[in-house]
Amino acid sequence: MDLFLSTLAISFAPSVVGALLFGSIFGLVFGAIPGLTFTMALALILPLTFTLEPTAAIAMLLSTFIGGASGGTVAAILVGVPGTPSSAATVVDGHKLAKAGKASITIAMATIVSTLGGLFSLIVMVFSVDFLASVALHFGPAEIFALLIFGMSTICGLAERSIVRGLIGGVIGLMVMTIGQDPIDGVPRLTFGSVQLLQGVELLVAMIALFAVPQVVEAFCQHHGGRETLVDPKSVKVELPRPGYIFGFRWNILRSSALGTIIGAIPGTSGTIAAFLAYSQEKRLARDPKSFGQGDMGGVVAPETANNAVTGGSMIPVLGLGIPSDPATALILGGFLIHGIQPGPLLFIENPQVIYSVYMLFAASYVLVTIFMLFGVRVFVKALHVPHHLLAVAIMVLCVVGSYSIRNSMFDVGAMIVVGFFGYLLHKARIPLTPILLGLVLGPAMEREFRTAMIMSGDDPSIFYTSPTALLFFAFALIVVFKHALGGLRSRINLNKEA
Amino acid sequence: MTEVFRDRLLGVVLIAVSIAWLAAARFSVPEGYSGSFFGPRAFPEALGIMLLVLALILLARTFVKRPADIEEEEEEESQTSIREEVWSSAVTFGFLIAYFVALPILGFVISTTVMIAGFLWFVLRKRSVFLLAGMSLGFSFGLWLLMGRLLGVYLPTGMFSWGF
Repeated sequence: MDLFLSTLAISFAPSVVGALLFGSIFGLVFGAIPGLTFTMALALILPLTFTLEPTAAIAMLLSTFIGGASGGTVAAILVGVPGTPSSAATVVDGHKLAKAGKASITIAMATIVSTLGGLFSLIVMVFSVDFLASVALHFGPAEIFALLIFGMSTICGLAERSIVRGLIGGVIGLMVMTIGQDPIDGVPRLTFGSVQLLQGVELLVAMIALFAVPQVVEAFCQHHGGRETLVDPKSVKVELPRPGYIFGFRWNILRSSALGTIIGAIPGTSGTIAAFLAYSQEKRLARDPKSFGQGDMGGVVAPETANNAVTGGSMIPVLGLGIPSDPATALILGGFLIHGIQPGPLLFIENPQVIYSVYMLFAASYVLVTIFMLFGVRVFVKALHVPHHLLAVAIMVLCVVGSYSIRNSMFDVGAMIVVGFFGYLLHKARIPLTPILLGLVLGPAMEREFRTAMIMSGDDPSIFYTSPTALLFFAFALIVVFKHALGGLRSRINLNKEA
Repeated sequence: MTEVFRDRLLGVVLIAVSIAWLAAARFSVPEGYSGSFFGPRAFPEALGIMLLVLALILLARTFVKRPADIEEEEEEESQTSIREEVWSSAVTFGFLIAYFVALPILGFVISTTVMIAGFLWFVLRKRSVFLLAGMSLGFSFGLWLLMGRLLGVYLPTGMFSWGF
């Protein structure tokens, strides 16, 4: 009890609360602006923590991480451009809900379920950090590859009407990500001698281009044709979800939280993968799967819960083993080391106060971010009052600035314009954009894990079917594909009968 | 443009792209050093073949599509005319390319102010001085302050190194 009280006193000292507030706002702003990520926010804020005492430094890093993971939702719902890669799955239904005048309730709902997902992962982290860290260590390249194949199988659910078109989108996404330096051998691929192409197409640049550019063109098209719908400021109500409404999504929240926490604990995975898997899972389990993609709140709840549950999950290998699971947690781990804290099994024995402090600061960060977001809803929805064609001008500037600021490279701005142009053409050809994004997200990891597994096994494919975990994920993927194929066949037979 | 024609065009374009991709992967990607059968060429080639097969399926489906399917799909055609599409895509990509060219020369603040004001005046035909000045100056200085000064994100300073 003494240990708990002394940790409480240290964790909520004025300097620590100040660091929490600053970090939360910093992360939220970075998350909300398309092109800026919480990884970038963490990289920029890390030097600021050098002069702080360790608890305040941890508070600033954790709150930036959590603020950034939550902030991406705002841009995804209001503007239809994901603020961070992990909020990409939210765009699908979130933006449609905002267009239908439900922006405030959607943002509020996303905020609340994000917090619930985050707190769920925190509880799991507290009780099972040792166990989950050891389980996650058993995920080798073959198991991660199988998990990614399961992730790719969600294309069937995201393909809107035609699975063939969805698959074409997925393959195009995968193809784009093979351009650049080979991840294993380091040789240039399809760069045609261009040094700048060696770095490949940055995921966030492609994401901005694919989601924002077709929207901007659409906004100008509607303006030019005199069909622009002006939002009546009186019609945009600021309403928050009632507890009963949130309770209605309890199973969705629970399933997505569990999924996000598990995915987060596996090194080499990310919130984006968790968000898409959760979206696909809930779409499969929904009473009316067709409503997903048309503005279903369940389609916002699932990815938002899962991508925030990843934050707690991803801290499990950091605290339990001292292994970062993604670039963001690598920066947090760096911050820990700079302040003389060595995460790993020994930390639990030698310095349990740090661990308790992390748990408390984690929970406090979530509460703070939720308060900021819920108060901010009134301000955020003001963006809807701006005519779409003026908003489109602002989005174009943000696209360019966001693409530039990722690597301070004009090449990325050029790549954004080129990818945006082809994305627009594909959109016009009715190739769904979300599978392209899935290909972009999963492509590099899929190739890396597959080839690493094959090198490890000496080109023996049995590495994939002798692992029960890998087999389980392959089986899941097959079930998803068959279920969608069967569903498509059934609806075709019904159509034929009606005809 | 009918749905069938669009799919056929898309199918043919994708077949051409996949063949070009396969040729590029075969002749421009060097063999790796890992000694594995699955070297640097394996994924690009496999993806090229997959795209080729999918494009062939898409093309083949246009020949077996029932009239009912086509009608259903064409009902969902948007109301936009080709002229509107061309205009809106031309102004969007025109703006993006001009901004891309201006940024490294004039720097962030000047190019953003000029581009937004110019776009509002010439393309969107806005004549309100308040809107023109407010949006162009407010947006460029606001972003410069927020990103360049507060968040510490680098923004292009231009060839004259004005610092903004």
